[in-house]
Amino acid sequence: MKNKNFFSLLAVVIWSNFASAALVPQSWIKDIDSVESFEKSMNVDSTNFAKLDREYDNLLDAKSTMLERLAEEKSVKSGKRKWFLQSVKSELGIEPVGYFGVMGLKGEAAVEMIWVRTPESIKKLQNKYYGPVRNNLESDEVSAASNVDETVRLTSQMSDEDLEKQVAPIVAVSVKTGKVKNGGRLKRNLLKKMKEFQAMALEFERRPSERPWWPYKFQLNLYAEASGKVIPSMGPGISMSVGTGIRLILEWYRIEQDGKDPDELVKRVPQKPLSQNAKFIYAMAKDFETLDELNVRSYKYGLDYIKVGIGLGVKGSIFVAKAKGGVIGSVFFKRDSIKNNNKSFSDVQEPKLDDTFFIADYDNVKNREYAHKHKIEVTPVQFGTEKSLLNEGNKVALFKASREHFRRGLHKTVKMARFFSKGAVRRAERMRRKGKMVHFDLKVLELELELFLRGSVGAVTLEGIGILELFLVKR
Amino acid sequence: MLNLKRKALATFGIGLLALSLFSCKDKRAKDDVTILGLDDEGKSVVRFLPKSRYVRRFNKMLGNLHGETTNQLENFVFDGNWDLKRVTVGLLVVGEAKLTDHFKLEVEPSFELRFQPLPKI
Repeated sequence: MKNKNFFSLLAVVIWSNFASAALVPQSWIKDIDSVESFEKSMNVDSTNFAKLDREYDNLLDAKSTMLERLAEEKSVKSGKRKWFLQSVKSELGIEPVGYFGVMGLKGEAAVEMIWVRTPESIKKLQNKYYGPVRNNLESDEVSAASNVDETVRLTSQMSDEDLEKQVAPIVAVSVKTGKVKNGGRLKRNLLKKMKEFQAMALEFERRPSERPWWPYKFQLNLYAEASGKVIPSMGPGISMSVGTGIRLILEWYRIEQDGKDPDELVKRVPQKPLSQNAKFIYAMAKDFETLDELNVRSYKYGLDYIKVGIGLGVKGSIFVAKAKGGVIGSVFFKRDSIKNNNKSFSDVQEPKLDDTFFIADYDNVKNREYAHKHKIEVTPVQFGTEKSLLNEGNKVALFKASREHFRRGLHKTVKMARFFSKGAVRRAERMRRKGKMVHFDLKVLELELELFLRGSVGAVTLEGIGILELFLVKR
Repeated sequence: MLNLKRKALATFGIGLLALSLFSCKDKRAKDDVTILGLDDEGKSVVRFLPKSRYVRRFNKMLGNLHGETTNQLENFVFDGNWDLKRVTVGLLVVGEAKLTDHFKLEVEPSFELRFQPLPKI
């Protein structure tokens, strides 16, 4: 009898130590057909979800414990340091089978987490270095930093003279550091690119102001060679084995007009027909309304921004880029606050929009078979100078994706986003209950999404490429 | 005889437990941290690391990185025309030996640390 008890105990202990890793639902990462089957898989498999919750809690606990201990490290706490660790970004990934964990060597992250120093922790440091603190200080912006050399910020109203002023210091530094030999050529080429970019960004000024989502930032990644030649390049985070030139980001910001009365929108004089690029932006902004459930006031993490990876055609047409070499820029969308939700947009006559949009991906047998299966129209493209950044032999085509599939895919991501933000809230609650001072707060969760060629959406796996990024920001 | 059998079984059980806790990193223990990556051929790899070891190792590495970076920044003199507002440092831990002796595959969990001048009151 004693033996039996001993074996039972041993079995329980061993079993608890050989716990299996939880898998994310296949519907998160696969190109599944319908929202219904996704809903079913989310509801039926509650055991796996409980395991997945534990897995996520465990990962957050490991990261958070490590950061809290870091803040208490002697080398971090002591010393007369004017510089302080403001935030830490780390990543979680999903492996193609569905394992979920800390990102290792290579691969695309599914979730990026930005842990920001809490005001209390900053206050403590200020107290130490400058004496007692009287004011509350919020941490600075938490947007992802990029590994580029320079960022050039533009608006649509900048004159040629303004543009030259922007370019001058970049050219000077590039020549001084020896990264670019021909400064004159760099200046000419850069100005040309900036003007083209500015003209393209003008399309975005005509924001779909009657809709809650609108583009507020547009980035184009450039690479300047030593010879002064300037070419579009892949964005930060994507490895690119080119020479020793400089990486640049052209960044356009919308100039906001304060105090705009939403009712004024109805009275607007109809504008000329929208261009293809403006229609693309308008349609995307409209489809993002599918995600509005994530902005319910009671949620601790709200969806504040969305980033879309884009490619450019030779004539400046914008499309969603999936082929790694084709992603050369991003459009950032922002949402008006709920209270600002336009009460009258149903009265506004909307422009006629296409039911489809283009996704650029490699023109290979696998993609062609997929396109044939789903009856997707395919158009081969040439990127011009950008083509040199794609691997030899990799041709690219535009696949006509359905906005209906896109919206259904976005609907799926609402549940995924809820899962990730709930875990973060649980973690914060546990920390609060412990009553200890918290140095790092999980401020931003960036959910990386993959687009399938027919327009459907899933969480990106290690082997995929994140095209859409949802920025869930703690309220 | 029965006692001897029980002792042998208990030893076996404890040995198995120890094995599961300290070396069997293709399998996972309850609190292990899952680490994912792609190998050189682009195939996905899943490995497990005890949470305490993950915390200890990375705490040490990030602590060192923090110390070195802030030391450099304190003594850094920048061009008079420029104002250094923010510095981002990435940590890529290459080489499995730094994580555990039993890893047979490279992993490099990455972190990005952002430093800013401490705001004055």
